[in-house]
Amino acid sequence: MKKILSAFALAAAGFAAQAQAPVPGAAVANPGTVQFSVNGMVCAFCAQGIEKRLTKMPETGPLYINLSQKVVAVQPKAGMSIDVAKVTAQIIEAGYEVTASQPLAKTVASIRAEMKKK
Amino acid sequence: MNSTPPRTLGARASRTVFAWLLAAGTLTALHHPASALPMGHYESWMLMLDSTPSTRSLGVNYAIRQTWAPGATLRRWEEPAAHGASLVRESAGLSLTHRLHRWNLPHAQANLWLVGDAGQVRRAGGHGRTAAETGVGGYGALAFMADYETTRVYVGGSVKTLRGEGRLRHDLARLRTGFSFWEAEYEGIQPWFLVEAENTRYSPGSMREDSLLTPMLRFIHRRWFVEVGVNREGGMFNLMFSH
Repeated sequence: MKKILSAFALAAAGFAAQAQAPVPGAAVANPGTVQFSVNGMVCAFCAQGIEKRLTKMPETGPLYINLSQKVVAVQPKAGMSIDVAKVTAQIIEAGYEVTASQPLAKTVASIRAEMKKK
Repeated sequence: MNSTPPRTLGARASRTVFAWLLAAGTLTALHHPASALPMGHYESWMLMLDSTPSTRSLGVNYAIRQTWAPGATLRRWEEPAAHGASLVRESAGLSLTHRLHRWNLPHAQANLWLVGDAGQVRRAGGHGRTAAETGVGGYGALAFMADYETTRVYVGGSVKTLRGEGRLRHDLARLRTGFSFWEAEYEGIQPWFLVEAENTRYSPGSMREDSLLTPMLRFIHRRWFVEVGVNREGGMFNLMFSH
């Protein structure tokens, strides 16, 4: 009886894991992107320091900088997460001011596409 | 609000034009040495070439802190004298750039800078009766710079004073202002139109003062910053590269 119950439990766990595994090509539910509002970003020559510092961080995946909207969106690499305090510190080290940050359940690619439409 | 007017050149064509301008400007700069902006972001190198008909400089610095960047600078300038004569001077020195203050505003940035350099200067000949004069001595220079910029408007000015042995003087005041044709995306090339007014004071015995007005185009693309212009004396070129 014990063995049968254990077998059922294992099978149920296996089905649950399969159900949660993402289908290849499907959208990730929450990529963990964080969008930062940054003051002082007025030209690419100046703001490229932000890109340089953030791309050096091991958790940084796709990155998007929009000068007119004054935002920097950072998406973590798969299996990692964005440390808001660390990214904020890097943007400040690059010479800018972070006024706000917000997590977004979107990829950088979709944020880029949305902002281009505006 | 992010509105981008239609561009007259495609992105690829813009990059091609930019590359040709950069090549032409670099050749010009190498043939005629050059000067430019103060420093890059923390832990970055900045290379600056600046060439006007009478002054050329080459500088490099490294930002060891957010607001401090030591470096080196080479400078060559021609002092017009009376009766068509002129005196050429060349200097080599160590420099130190300091960002006094920065204002990061929602839609603008403003900065105050102090740049100093000191080293050796020599009289490198010239034209007319001053050509025979040569000599080597020390010099010191100090510049105060300020700028205010949005994604569409730029205003910047600088005042530089250089003193050296033998009553050497080379003082320069510059004011630049202009606008961007459009608000470019971060990855794009952003073209600007600016006008620079420059006033130079030379050593006693030289022509005392000279003023120039230079219209110019500025192109910014990521790590590259290029300005090309022309005035009554000839062409002007300014290049900055940050890494």
